[in-house]
Amino acid sequence: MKKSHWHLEDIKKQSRLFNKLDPRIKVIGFFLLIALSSFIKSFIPLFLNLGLAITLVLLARLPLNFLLTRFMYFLAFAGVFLIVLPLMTPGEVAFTLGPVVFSKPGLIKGAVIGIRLVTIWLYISLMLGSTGFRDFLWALSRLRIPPEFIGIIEFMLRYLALFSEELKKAQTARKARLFQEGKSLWHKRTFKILGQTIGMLFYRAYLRGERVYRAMLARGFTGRWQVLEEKKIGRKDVVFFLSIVFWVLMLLDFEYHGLAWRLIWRLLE
Amino acid sequence: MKIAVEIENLMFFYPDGNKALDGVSFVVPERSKTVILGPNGAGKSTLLLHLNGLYTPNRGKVRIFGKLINAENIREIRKKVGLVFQDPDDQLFASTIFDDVAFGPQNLELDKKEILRRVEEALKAVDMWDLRDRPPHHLSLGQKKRAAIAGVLAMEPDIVVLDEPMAYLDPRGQEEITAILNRLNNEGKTVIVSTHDLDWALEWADYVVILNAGRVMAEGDKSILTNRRLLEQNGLKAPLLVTLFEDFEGKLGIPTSLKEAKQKLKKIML
Ligand SMILES: Nc1ncnc2c1ncn2[C@@H]1O[C@H](COP(=O)(O)OP(=O)(O)OP(=O)(O)O)[C@@H](O)[C@H]1O
Ligand SMILES: [Mg+2]
Repeated sequence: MKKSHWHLEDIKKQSRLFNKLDPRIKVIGFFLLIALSSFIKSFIPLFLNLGLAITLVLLARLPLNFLLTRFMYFLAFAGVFLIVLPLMTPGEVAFTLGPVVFSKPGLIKGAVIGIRLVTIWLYISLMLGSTGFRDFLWALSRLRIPPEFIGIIEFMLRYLALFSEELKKAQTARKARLFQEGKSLWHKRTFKILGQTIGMLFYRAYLRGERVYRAMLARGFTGRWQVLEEKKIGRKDVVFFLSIVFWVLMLLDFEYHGLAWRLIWRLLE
Repeated sequence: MKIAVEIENLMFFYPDGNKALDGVSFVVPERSKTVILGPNGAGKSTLLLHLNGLYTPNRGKVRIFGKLINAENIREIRKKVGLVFQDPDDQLFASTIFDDVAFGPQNLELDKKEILRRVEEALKAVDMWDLRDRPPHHLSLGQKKRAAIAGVLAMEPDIVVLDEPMAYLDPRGQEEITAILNRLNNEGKTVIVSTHDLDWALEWADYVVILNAGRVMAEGDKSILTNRRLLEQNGLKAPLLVTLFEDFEGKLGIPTSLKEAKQKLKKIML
């Protein structure tokens, strides 16, 4: 199997610890952790949280390859942002690299956001890797996410793969006829061909959409998506969930000095 | 002879004005193995999309077990007529094969047990049960085709329609699909297949319809396939067996299956 084509269902089978938990609990639990990660700003809770994410990923034994290939995509998105941010933020100068000035507040901000993103990314990988898309979608539907929305995600996942395959095919076919991409981005012919390719892809996607819809009608689709399975929430799930709640409260307490206790008192009153 | 599908003077234009079907009439006997033959662009796919009301004819009638397709009975019709598309990627959309096959029965609002039974049976019938948790992408084309067939089998239709099920399959894949089609037919289903593979058609079919440029050029049992002139006039190539035996037609006659050909040869050798 090629590394770029990890099946989440395979990852799930290889992973430990979380793959047997109820998908609903997992989705809510990890969602809490992700929300928490995007809240905290101080370094101690940030690092604690990152530490937890790393520990859990190690415990779950997600294949390293899987994490690394996904990390590449992640870096491509987040990396640019992380580099630009310290440059854009004004403040006390930390150091200079030639004409480029890094400010202290900028670096701190960059570090905070960097840690946050890595943590969130780890949690998301953990959630999807230990659940698989199918159970993930199932959990969403059981959590009353509108079925149309879930249908769209399902389509997107399926047809994104098809789409990229078609793009690759078009590329290969061009290469087979000795087309060379221009040396600069502004090479005129490259641009034209690129435009044609994209246009063709969209048109094909449109036609494909029509055929897919027709195929669904042929199998009696009425516009309603249905859910098959039932699952039971067990003791393990409760323990998992409570630990996460505990963790979230603890870190919030750290961040906002005593917030958790105040909340708990409020509830008990 | 009971009739499963009856088509009468069917006409269909595509929105761009292209006349794809030009007065098509024919019948499909119940429990038959019917092959619709025709060159590229003859109108085969367009025709098949009429069989469960996905396309509405501009003129003419389509009857399924004697019932005219209309807005009221369309769901009933789609339950009876299962259509497997030419390109399995048009059909498989769910995140796993299992879910995809369950899609049809779920739409029929069967109870859960029945759905699970049907999915299991359909996937086992096409030998895809072990791959049920796989997502459709990155399956081989043959596997995708089998999954697409399972998706229709799970609806338990009386009439199974397949648009070029053999295209791009290797010989073993073709054999497997043929075996599935035979099994369906033995279970009492009417099976309709479009193809331009005449060798396969000669071997498999018991009823043949030849389509060209949106019209039916011939219809009947497979002796039609021994008529070289007719076939060539309609952009088709005579089956290998026919080409081989036509020089000895006076003495041996033309066989309509490999088995028959062998018997004929044995007889003159001994
Ligand atoms: N979406 C469309 N819009 C306009 N014309 C179409 C469309 N689809 C098919 N046609 C035309 O209708 C005619 C019949 O096409 P159809 O796809 O039914 O042929 P076919 O017998 O299935 O061919 P093949 O063996 O290549 O699959 C052709 O002339 C084709 O160009
Ligand atoms: Mg076709």
